[in-house]
Amino acid sequence: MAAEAAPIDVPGAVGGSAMQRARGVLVTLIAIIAGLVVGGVALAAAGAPPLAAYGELVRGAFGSSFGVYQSLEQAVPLAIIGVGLCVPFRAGIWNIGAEGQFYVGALCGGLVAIYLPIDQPAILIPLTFLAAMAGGGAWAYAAGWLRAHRGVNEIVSTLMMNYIALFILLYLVRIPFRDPDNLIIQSKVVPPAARLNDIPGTFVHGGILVAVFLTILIAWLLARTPFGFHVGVMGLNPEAAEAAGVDTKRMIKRVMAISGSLAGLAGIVQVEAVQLVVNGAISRQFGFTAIVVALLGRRSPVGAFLAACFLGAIAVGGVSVQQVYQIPTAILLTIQALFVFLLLAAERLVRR
Amino acid sequence: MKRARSIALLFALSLVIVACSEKAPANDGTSDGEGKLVKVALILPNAKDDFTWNQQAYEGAIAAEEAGSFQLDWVDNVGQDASSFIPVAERYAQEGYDLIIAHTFDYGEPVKQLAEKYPDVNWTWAGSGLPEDLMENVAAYEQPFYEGSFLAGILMAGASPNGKIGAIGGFDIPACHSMVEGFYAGARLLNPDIKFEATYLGTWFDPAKEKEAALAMYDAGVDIIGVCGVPTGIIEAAKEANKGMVGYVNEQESAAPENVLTSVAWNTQLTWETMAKDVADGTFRPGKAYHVGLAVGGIQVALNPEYKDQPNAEAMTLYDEVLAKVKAGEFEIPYIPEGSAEDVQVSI
Amino acid sequence: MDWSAVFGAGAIIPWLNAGIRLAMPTACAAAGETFAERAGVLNLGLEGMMLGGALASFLVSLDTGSTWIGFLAAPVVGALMALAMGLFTVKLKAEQVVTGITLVLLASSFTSFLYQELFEIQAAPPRIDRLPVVAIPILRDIPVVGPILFTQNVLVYVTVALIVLVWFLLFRTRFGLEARAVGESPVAADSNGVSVDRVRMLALMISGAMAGVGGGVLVIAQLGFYQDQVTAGRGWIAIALVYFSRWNPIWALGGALLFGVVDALQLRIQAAGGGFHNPIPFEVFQALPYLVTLGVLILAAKRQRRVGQPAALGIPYEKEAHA
Repeated sequence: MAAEAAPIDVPGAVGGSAMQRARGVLVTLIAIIAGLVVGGVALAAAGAPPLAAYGELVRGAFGSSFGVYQSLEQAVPLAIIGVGLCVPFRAGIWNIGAEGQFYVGALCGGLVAIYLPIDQPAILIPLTFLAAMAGGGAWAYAAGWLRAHRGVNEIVSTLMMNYIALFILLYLVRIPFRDPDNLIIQSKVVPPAARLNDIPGTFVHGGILVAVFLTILIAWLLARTPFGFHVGVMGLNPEAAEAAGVDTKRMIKRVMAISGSLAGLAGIVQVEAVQLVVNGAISRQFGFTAIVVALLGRRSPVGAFLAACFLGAIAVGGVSVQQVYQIPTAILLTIQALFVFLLLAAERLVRR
Repeated sequence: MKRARSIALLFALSLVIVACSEKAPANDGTSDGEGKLVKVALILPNAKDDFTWNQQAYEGAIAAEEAGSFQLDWVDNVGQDASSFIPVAERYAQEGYDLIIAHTFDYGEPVKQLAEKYPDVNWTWAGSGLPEDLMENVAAYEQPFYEGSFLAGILMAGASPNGKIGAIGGFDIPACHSMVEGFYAGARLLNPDIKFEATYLGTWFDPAKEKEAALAMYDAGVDIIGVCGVPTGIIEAAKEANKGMVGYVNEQESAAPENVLTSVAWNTQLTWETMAKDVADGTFRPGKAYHVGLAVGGIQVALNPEYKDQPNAEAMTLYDEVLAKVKAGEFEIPYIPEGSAEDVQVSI
Repeated sequence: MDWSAVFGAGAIIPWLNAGIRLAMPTACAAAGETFAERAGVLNLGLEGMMLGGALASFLVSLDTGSTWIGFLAAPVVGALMALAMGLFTVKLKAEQVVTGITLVLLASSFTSFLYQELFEIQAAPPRIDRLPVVAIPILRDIPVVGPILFTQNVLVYVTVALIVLVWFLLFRTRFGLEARAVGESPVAADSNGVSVDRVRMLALMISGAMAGVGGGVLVIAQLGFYQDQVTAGRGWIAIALVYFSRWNPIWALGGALLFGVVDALQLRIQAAGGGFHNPIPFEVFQALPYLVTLGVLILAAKRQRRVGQPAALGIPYEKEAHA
């Protein structure tokens, strides 16, 4: 499927007269306020005073250093996967398989972390990262190969491979790699040498640094290298790209491998920083939500990172609101989705 | 970038809102004083109206709260993964709750991490099989469903015209595995030639699939199906095929009086109260795990008099005998978290 | 293990029947989606529309006491949700993928919320009377085929008819021609006087209505009750099946049947002794439908080039840009 016409935000391009931009800001504001009002009505219906609830949402997310750290930690997996997804999305390749690539990466990296007899974190952790990236990258590469050489649409193949990856993981932690001392279905616990601890002086784990680093790296890759340029050209018009000498088959495999390896990396980061074991519950649809993150960020790594932080903040703030006002989680999730919708609407209205 | 601008606007707007709104009332509950009630927080991974696992925990907790046993705060639909659990649990820990109940096996690792961080808070989780060096403020509450399923298995064997029974589990976790094998072990005690099949679905929440799995079993000649998971689809199948099933965690007889032989009911109120009382008395976690089981009424298995094929007299006698001996401490129902009941010798 | 219990003469008919039952909800959604995608709209909101249809048909059946009226609510709600999505993607030219996914998130949390608000906690979900199984006289007596194809729930016949109707609309009517033109080359269609936006909106609403029907079938024909997230991911399988079907509603039905039959098979294998006590891990069986679908896809793709995908799929059409 070809990418959308003119989806890519050319950095630095600012269109329209001052009047138009002012109008754009105003419309965005109106859309956001409309969203807040609708959300407020929903909150009131659930028994929480809207203004106070919103206040609590923001306070929960930013009002304390604790909240900020939590928000960042929530953002980490979404950011890493989302940044990675920018690459194939820009090329017009729809990698819907980030969830499966996350699982494969967590599995490969996790097994290395648990079974490799190395004690120094400085050696062990990078090795686990490499293993995770190799696993996730290979899983995605397979789908890319099928698309490039057999014409198998990547949406179907990656979707199916999500399920297959999960079943493989569930089997492996149930029997061969099960923790023998613990009856629960999970791997052995990740040894301390492989854990991503909190950055000294803070309460946020090292994964955030990985996320920031990758954001910069991929942004550079896309904006400043020939590869990145080719990716963009492919996305705009695959036939023209072919004609201009871009080997689209190789590009397809490469972009899939890149995004798969990042998804896999996100998997091992989650395992080493938060989950500390490999089991079936390591992901809350991260691969899936990251698609929204990448698109909210308009396929730019910096945008994806910000969008991930936004969603992370809402999640943490939402926990606060829920505990204070005892409103059902379902209503919070509804409001979150509503906000995303309104952000989309605002952005489209501004463009017109 | 326009979207970044939109996000920035949103942030700015939210700051304005914070400035304008009043601070929420502090949720500190009862202060210490006469009749100091233990502050309990219940964290449920899925919906509180899921008809079994989460619902029973919720209902038991509410009942205990209404009975004045403790002060309760709860949250549902938190999610099964650690990164969803941690912000929720940590907030409760910071607000000085006395006992935090983490109601699924997947919460075990994050509970251990948080327990180290918050040693003054007591943590308990739905675990099984605990490491030796578990810290003082962490306990697990076992889900001794296998005790109930053993008893139910006796009834199943006694009520099965074909001599073939089965079980359907969501995932092959110890609680389910031991429960599934428990049905088999109990049935074998009554009838050593009983035939038994087990299916695992790979999901907790797909009633259509559950129904098809149950129908597949009934087609294969199974008379009664024991369940470890959400049973709504299986109840439908039992009604349609006019065969039998055993309810899970909740009493499900009312849903299909003629097709539900019995239910392995879990008295969560008793379980929560037992732990909360220990917290109040300062004797939390006498051993690492709380085993509130058949002997003390934590698990209840009552035959449904309206079920269409009542078990034979031999089954009823054996059932009474086993139950009495368990309560008297003379018989211990085997716990089979791995492998098959065929490899376990049971004699009463 | 007892393979005759799976493949023996007495077992084949119940197995295939189960396969049809498992397949129908997904088939409806997939067939409707082929129409939308032929017109160039990628509707990723199917799962949400199925949920909406499921809940709506359940609530209306409960409220009016009539399951048929309840069933009619399903396509209506599905179409309304598609209308909302169309406002964003067709009118506002928002990105189709993110709008679709967000719609699913919105629908799944909102249905959760609504259900919790409307029903208190109880021992078992409130039930409605399912529509009956109908055995078509004469046809049902054909050996082998009869008991399978002609002894199904009445809604199965209805939905198969609907799928055929979608096929007919797409390939045998002027509107279908317009839709396909819009999906292949919106510029050309536009210059021929076809209102691209209107056609796409209608195509999207057709896919929404069919997805809603899929949800309704699940609740009314198969279960007789509603439960949170009852569709359990079938909408996503449907999307995959559209590519599998080469954008043909009839083949979408076929793909759904393949998936459903294999899924029913793995359940029966487990029930006949392939379950826990079998050396083959049951995850293999659980993964079977996905493996088979992927396998068939790869084999089928080998035979032909990447043919059939509507050229303009996923691209919002901006009239001014081409004026």
